[in-house]
Amino acid sequence: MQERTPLETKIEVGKLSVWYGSEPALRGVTFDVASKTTTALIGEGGSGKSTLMRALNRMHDLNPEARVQGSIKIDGAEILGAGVDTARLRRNVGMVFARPTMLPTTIGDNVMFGLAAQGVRDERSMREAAERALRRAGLWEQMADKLDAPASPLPEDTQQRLSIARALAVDPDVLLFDDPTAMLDPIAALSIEDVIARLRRDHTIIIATNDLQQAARLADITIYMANGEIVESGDTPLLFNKPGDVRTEAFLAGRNPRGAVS
Amino acid sequence: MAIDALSDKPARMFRPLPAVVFAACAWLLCGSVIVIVGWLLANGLPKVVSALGPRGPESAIGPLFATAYITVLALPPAAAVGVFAAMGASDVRIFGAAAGSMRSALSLVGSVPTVIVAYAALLAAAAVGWHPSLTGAAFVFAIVNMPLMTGLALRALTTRAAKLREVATALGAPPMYIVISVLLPRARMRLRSAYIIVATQIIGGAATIAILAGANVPASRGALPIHAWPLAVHIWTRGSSADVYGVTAASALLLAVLIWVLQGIAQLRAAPESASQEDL
Repeated sequence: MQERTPLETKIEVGKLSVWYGSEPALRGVTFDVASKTTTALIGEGGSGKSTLMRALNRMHDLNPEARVQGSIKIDGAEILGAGVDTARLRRNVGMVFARPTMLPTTIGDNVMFGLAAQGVRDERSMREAAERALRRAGLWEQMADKLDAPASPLPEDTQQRLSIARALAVDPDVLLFDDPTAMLDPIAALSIEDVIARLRRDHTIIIATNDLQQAARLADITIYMANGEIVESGDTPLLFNKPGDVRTEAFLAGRNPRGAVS
Repeated sequence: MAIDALSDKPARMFRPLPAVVFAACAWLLCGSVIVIVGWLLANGLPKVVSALGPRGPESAIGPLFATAYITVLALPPAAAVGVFAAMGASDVRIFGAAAGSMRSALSLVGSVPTVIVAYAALLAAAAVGWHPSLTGAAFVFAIVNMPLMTGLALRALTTRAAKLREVATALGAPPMYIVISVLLPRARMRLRSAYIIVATQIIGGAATIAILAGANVPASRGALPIHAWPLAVHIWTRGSSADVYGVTAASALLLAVLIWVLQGIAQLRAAPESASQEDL
């Protein structure tokens, strides 16, 4: 595999707009993400964070009402055009959702699902990939002898870590976390954060979160979004300590950002 | 207690009243059949045996045979086409924005009593000079039951499936792989219920037409529409052979019980799941 410098651009988003029916959810969003950095998307509910995340691996295709305009390039290749192999794209751009949903099968099959869908049939290499993924998600010690047990009865934080392992098993370059600790208690949320922190040096990570502390702890770059637009973006310590826009300042201070516009 | 595999919460119990009503009706029908059969036996076993035996166009075994024949032939293609169509329709990427309209159309077409459509088709065939054989009738029943099977299979595949589909899609699984490896195995119980419901539709429709057409159906040499009179008209115009129609009525009751039992099984199997799982 080609060596990349740490600041090589991984994702380029240009004038991206998304509509659900006639309702705009994103309005001409433009930003770049450097390779192997962690970017946090923060903003109020409905600001377009999840819509942006879902556009990055074409999950909006599942919504027949979604309409997309603009450009998203990953490693220089446009992903929004027709003829893109979306299955391959999604293996390269893995996604972990707010609520962990286990496939109705065993723990092992959940982790190996992406590989099986890819056409891998060799049981041994699948087991090895599953072990690697579970180790990286900090679950191997706990799950090594339970791979044939059903996944659904696991506690929610373990399910979320299993979701991360499931996404890691197909070896993605980019990982999208859509508010991954929203359903968890603070202790469980910290354990998920630990996992994400360990993954930062090997993957380009984008995390949408409502937890500002989490964004401050994890992200190199933070993007503040409001009303489907990027209000401000920059190095996380700088944005949190010296926001350049009154709306960002208001949001970070817990005030209504709309009231700050005057 | 049934466990909802996705949420790990105990599934809500379904309301017991319909099951009780169904059981009461089933027992009432079974009782009626026992009384009729008992009455027939009391009138002499040899007479009953000869009435039931395959001894010509007036044979009372005819409707039963015709119904069984049509069902065995019609169910597999109806089920196969229905499930495959539902697999396609369950994916918005295949049918795009038309998927919603297609589902509404399926519900509408599927709600038309298939016996009416099938009977109309058979009468129309006879009117243009084609006297349908039982195989032809089975073909008609297979086609008219396909929308119902598709609708039921579609519901089985899509009930509470949105999150699973989303997760599997995010892992890079192609649409058909998701349907085959995730949604179909999960919908197995509901699909079984769908097979039973469609089977009862075919049995009910075929039995109705077989009984309406008199015992001539297996012969079917121009049997429709000349003999396609209601049973009551047959009995009225041919009162001298009322015994035969007594046996026919008994066979109709047996069929009715069979249909009720099958539908009851389908309802009972489907009820706990549908009570606890909403469409997403």
